[in-house]
Amino acid sequence: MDKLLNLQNVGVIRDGRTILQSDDLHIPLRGITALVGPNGAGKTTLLRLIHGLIEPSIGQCERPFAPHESALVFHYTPMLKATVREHLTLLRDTDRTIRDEAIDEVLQSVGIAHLANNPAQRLSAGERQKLCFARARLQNPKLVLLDEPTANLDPNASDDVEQMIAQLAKDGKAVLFASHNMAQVKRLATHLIFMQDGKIVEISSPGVFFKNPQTKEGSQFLAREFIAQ
Amino acid sequence: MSSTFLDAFALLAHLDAAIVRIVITSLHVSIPALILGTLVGLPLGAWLATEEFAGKRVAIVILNSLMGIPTVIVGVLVYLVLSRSGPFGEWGWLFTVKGMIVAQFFITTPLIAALSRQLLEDSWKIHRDTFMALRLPYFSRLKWLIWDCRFSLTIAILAGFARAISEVGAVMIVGGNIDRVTRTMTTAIALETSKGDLAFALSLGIVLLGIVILANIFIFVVRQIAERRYG
Repeated sequence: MDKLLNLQNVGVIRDGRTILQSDDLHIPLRGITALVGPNGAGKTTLLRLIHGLIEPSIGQCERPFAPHESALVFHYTPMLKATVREHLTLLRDTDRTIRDEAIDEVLQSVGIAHLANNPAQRLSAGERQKLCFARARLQNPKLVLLDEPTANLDPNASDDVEQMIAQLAKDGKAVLFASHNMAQVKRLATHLIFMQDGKIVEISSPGVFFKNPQTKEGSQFLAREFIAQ
Repeated sequence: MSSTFLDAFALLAHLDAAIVRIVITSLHVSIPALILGTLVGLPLGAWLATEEFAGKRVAIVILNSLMGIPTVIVGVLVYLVLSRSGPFGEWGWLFTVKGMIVAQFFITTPLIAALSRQLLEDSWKIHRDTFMALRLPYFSRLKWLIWDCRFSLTIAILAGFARAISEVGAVMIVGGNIDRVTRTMTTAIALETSKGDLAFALSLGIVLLGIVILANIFIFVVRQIAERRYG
């Protein structure tokens, strides 16, 4: 059965500006869902709202997963002055059952086991993102939220990250990722949410959205994207 | 003047017993005061850096002002509290090393708290989202924040040490500058200079300067090694 994110007339207001608003919406979170829309559409705000980093200013948000059941990866995560391994051991403060073997395993799974004792601040952008994915895996979430996970990555690193996203879905985790890369959305996503001006405009599938968007805003967005490409 | 310097170096070369005793007393006061000041000042700085509450800005202004509080004022206040008629007079800590440690604790704590607050606040702004997204508990967030800034925080602790070891007002008032008991380098320098024993005063001044320079070199080396290791 689908896990539903229920938004009941939700509004998120910051500095007097409404950055996210919705009517009564029930959004299924399953498979790999892409969150697309122009800059300032409210994608990051929605991810933060689902993760529980922010609460709505008005309305109600019923999250489909308990707080510890979701993990959020930003497009850029600043590293501590600590080793790669220490970036994972810090999760023991939230879950004391995390063993060294589990840490080794996730490092192996994302391909940075050889960097375990290196300073994390010296990692490349791609390696940093792999470390963040390792941390997300170690949290063992049911829902993984990714905010533009391949922004600023080179094609090789982007490919690696896409494979990791696909692997998360294979492992039975729901993935919701924000992206500006429509080719990536076509490759990865099984479902799609289109946002604009802080509103969820369309909930669809990539096949339908790219061939026959159901809204005028969706059509205009795609037209702009294709011209840009 | 040159003979004064020669005499001062001669005293140091012969490891004059009085000088050694005074140096040990100074360190016996300043190091525990620094440790206590760090144990209180660092968490206080971390709390101020990470928490939002009404009056936070006022608290920061007060803390920053306390950084530069004249040590004689601290001395007088601690004297009042520890004097026989004061609330803690029965402890008998006035004119003892314990009393001097208390006085220097109140000098080092605000300095370490204010400097660490600034350093940790900058780091908090960078890592807040990550820590919150990982749902790290409150004390875990403080721990990792301090861990992230550990090399920069050595500067705050060094500043606390330099202020403690070189202050004269508070230890003079609270310690009473009693020979073989509470005489520190700074109080001895003040006394010997007024008595005209400039060589003795100068030799203590050289030791004081040497300790501060050594502490700086130690911190510099630690930071260099750390930066090489952690980037």
